[in-house]
Amino acid sequence: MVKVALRRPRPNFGHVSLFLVALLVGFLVVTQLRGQLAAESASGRSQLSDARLLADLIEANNRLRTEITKAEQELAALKGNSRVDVDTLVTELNRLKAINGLLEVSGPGVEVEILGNPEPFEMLDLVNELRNAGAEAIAIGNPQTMVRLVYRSGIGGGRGWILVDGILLSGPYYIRAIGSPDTILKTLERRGGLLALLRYTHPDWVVTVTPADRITLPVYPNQLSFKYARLMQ
Amino acid sequence: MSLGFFGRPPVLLALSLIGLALATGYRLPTQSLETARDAGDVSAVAAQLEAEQRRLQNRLGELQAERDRLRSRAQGPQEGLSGLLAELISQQVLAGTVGLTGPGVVVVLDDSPRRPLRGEDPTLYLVLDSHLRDVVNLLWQGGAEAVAINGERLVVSSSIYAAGGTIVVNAARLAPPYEIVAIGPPELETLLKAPDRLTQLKARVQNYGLQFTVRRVPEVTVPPYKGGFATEHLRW
Repeated sequence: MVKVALRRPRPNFGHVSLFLVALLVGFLVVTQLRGQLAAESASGRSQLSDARLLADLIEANNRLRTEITKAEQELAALKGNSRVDVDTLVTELNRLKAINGLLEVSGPGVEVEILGNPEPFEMLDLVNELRNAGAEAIAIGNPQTMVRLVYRSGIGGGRGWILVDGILLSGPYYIRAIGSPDTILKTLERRGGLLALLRYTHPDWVVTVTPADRITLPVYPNQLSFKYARLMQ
Repeated sequence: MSLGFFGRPPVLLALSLIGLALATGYRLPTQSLETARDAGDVSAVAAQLEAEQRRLQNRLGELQAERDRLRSRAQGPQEGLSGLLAELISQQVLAGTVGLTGPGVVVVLDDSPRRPLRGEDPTLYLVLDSHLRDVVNLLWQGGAEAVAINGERLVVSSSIYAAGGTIVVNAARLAPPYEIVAIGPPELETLLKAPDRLTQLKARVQNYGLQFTVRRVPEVTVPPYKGGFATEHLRW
């Protein structure tokens, strides 16, 4: 019978220390790699948001130029015959009412369908992203009710129940937005974008964006009055 | 003099590796030169566009003031005009193109004065775009009638997003501290301070030293929106 002597390795101060040193090296290398990855990801994000910022600035300037042209034309007409062209005024009035959510509006856009139970902040982020993508009018709702959003719309509630300006909405949720379907679709569906994040966080949800040639949004249902604000003198 | 343990070849090798890691790893720039140059370009282009934006905003402001002056002068001789002009002003107020004043709250958010610990996510110490969105959303829920962040009036098309270390509102880059002024009911103060509201932001205040103050004021001024509205796709 061969007796195998199980020899317990002798503790060796050098080996133990070397192990600790190797551990430290490993830690340093991993920390460095993590740092680099984070920096790359942050710079990727920042390049994306830089592009977004520049696009935003260019669009804002284009909108200003359009408003300037309109104001110049009206001013020239006013100076020409010193009479206000009522048609111009009515057109401007209706445009503002459409912007303010006080007229029914239609146009091309997208419909976002959410089969899930979003929290208010997730709906808020989606609305913010749509505005960012140049949506000109937005409404939130479900198959029964659509609530047009105005400048002072607030989104409250909790997971699975959404309150838009005091109107209770249950799922499935729809967000409809008028604007360039292509731009909105690309913004929402971009890699690492909001929809990707929602789908990653909630794998059981189904979130779809469908472009449409014509979307109709209703008039804002509540009264918009001022109780505290006055015109600045 | 003997180096003892530190003189052993494997230990020397390991120590060299640590030295290498410390020398290279911790001194590697977080951005490559190319990225930095691109970032510089973006900043320069953005600054040019912003200067152009200010020029256009001033031009539009002058034209609108002159137009409104001529319109009101025509009001007397032209029958039925005053009603139309009054309606127009009320729509301009809703659109946010008119400055407003009234009682309300002033909310100030600022980055933490503390420095992040090594390995900690530095964004934990910063005011994020989502914090501003949450505060503004709560103000609207509480009945605010007009809101501005660092002088940028919030209108129906306004979005709040982060870009290159700043927060962008109405295509304007804002820097901390972020001052949110809102006209509305006095209860806004209680609502913002309620422990069950803005919980994520308040946790950052508690744990990371983010600055968040709410003050009720008898009078605040909310400036007008100076940009334009896109309506190319809208039919009414």
